[in-house]
Amino acid sequence: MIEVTIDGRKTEVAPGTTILAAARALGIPIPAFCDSPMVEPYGACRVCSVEVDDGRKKRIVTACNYPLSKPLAVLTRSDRALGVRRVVLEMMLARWPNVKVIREAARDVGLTEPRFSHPKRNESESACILCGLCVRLCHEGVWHRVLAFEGRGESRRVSMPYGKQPPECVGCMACANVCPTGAIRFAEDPNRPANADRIRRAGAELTREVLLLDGSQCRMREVGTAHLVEIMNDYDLLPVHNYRFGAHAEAHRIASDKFKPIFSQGIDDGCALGCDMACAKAVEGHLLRTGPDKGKRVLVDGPEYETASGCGSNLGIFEPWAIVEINYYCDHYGLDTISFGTLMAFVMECFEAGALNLERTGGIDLRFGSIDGTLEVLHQMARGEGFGKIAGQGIRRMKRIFAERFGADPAFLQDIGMEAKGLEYSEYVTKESLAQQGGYGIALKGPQHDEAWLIFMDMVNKQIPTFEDKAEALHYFPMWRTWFGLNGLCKLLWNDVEPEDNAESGAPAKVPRHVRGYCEFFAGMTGKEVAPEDLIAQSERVYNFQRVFNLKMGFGRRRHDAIPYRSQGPVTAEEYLSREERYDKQLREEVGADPATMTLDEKRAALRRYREDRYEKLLDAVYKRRGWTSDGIPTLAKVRSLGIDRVEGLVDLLRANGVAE
Amino acid sequence: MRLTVNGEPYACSEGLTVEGLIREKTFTFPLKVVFVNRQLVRKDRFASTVLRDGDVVEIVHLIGGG
Repeated sequence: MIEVTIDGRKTEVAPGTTILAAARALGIPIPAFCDSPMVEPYGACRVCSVEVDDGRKKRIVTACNYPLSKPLAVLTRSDRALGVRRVVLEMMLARWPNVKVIREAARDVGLTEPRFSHPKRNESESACILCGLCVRLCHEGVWHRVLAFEGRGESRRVSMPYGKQPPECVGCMACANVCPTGAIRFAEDPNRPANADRIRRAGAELTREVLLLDGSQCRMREVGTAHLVEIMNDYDLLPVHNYRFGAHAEAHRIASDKFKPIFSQGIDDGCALGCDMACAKAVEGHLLRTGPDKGKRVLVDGPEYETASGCGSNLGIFEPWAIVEINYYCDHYGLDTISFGTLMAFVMECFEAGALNLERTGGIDLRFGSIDGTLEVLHQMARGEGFGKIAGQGIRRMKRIFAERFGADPAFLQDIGMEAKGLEYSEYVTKESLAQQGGYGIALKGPQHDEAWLIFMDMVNKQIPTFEDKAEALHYFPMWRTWFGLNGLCKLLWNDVEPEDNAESGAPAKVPRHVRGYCEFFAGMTGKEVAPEDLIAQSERVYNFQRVFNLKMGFGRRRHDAIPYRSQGPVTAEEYLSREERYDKQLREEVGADPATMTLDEKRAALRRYREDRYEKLLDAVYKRRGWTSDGIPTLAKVRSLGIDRVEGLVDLLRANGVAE
Repeated sequence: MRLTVNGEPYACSEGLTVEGLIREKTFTFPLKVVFVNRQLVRKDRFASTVLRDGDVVEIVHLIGGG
């Protein structure tokens, strides 16, 4: 820490703290037009000029961009400092005589009218004072680089390319929100919102949070969701070797610090233009080692967490280049990296368990960790050839094919094949979170976590201990997350950045301030006032309609919410032994058994009975909370209360499926 | 000394701070809220808040997960 004195008051600051920040922390005001914590200091307006004395000499510096590195005395209102500030402000006042921030700062140094006139005098109260905040926020904050300065001297002005609004400008309005004079206004919003200002205020709040807090929270702007690799490994949640384990000693080799150097930094988001979180990362210039584009340097969109874990740890692959290459070819061939990763993990476990062998894979070695084998299957899949043609059909069909053609044990395949409703699992180990087992199993489109991610609430926080608690979470969160889909919004801004005061909000997991922000957004767009519970009601109608649609398509009953045992508990003896203490404890404390007197097979069987029974009880509780029958179908009363009974044929469909009055 | 951490008993050495407990538990997820005996502990006090025998600690991880 460095001791500095500001206007006679002593304080200690960390090296690198600016004079402006140190003064503000003491409550000493220094005017500054071009400063914002959201962008790097710039020193453009010079209004923050102060005098510093290091004991050897005194000089004038700008407070906003002067980092403190040694003990100093700062005088914010010495004659010399005020003299400089007065000259600067007098020139500004001569040019922009009616801008409020200038008038106020000028009055503070005893100026009301300038002694001279300026050839470019602008009488507007909202004139641009060339502070550059808008330009810098567009560059450094939104990473969009649409705004720039043009001209020099008194011809300098803020502009867009060729003086026109380019299509790249999506009207995020970060520039307008940071402007100290109101010089930037939106001429026309093509979306014609009912109240654009309400939307922009809500947006400005998110911009501020992301730019100020993300760097110390999830670092989405640096590494995107890849920061989750190391975190999930720390919590035993990172899928390893087809979800057998939740951590691996090599996981650090695919942690976010290995991806950061190959991710392009400071580039605007390719997923949603103008998004400040900008978590969509890309690798530029990846040199392909395999496949039809071998030898070419390519741009790869990703990898995100799901790709890094699904096509990395879950396959026993800990080489970033291989994950990037798999990512590239999945995109190139139009394959989903999650489905590909999860189905390859299944294939590899089958290979190691003997259900597959070199003869059946056409000579491809598919043990865990086989990068060459994984890429070869991927290329075959795209060509519709060899073993790739089988693997490309997904886990559900592979289970049947392996049993019918290769004589594999169907029960084992069912246990380790991580799919439900025909969709491959996304990349989290759910064994120790019953709520998340339900979150995956009951999800309408199959086991993905878009509806609910409850592992921390359930497994770590122990916030939802009872079946009813879990059912409530499996009502609220899927409905809330569905709302993002209904409105075409991304949910990452909801919970991957947290307001400073979220801890005191009473329900931090729901991030209440952000939920209110979305209500503002909705009202601003549509003109219809909504409260948080109205958003849930909007989703509930759609969600229940989708469940009925699933029923119509043959996926909407209790049996379709069944999940493979691998997602509930240890399938193999090796898995049990790897976390033996944990499983024995559950047998002792919850099942009432004495593991000391049991064989390993007995312990596995007892644990399985207990866990499978709990899953069924969870389904009962969730169906009840949602107003569904014990077979998982919305009741007539439920569809009527939601008003979706008016959909033609819906009630008849329910009746035909045994739903009575 | 003995604490209760997220509803479960936890044995630890005297003088452990909130920050130390978070490190021991490998709770590396950044979005957390900590309560000691139902009192909120702000992030900037994690290092200076010393836990006492019998304290009930809740380390609430916010949702997470894409």
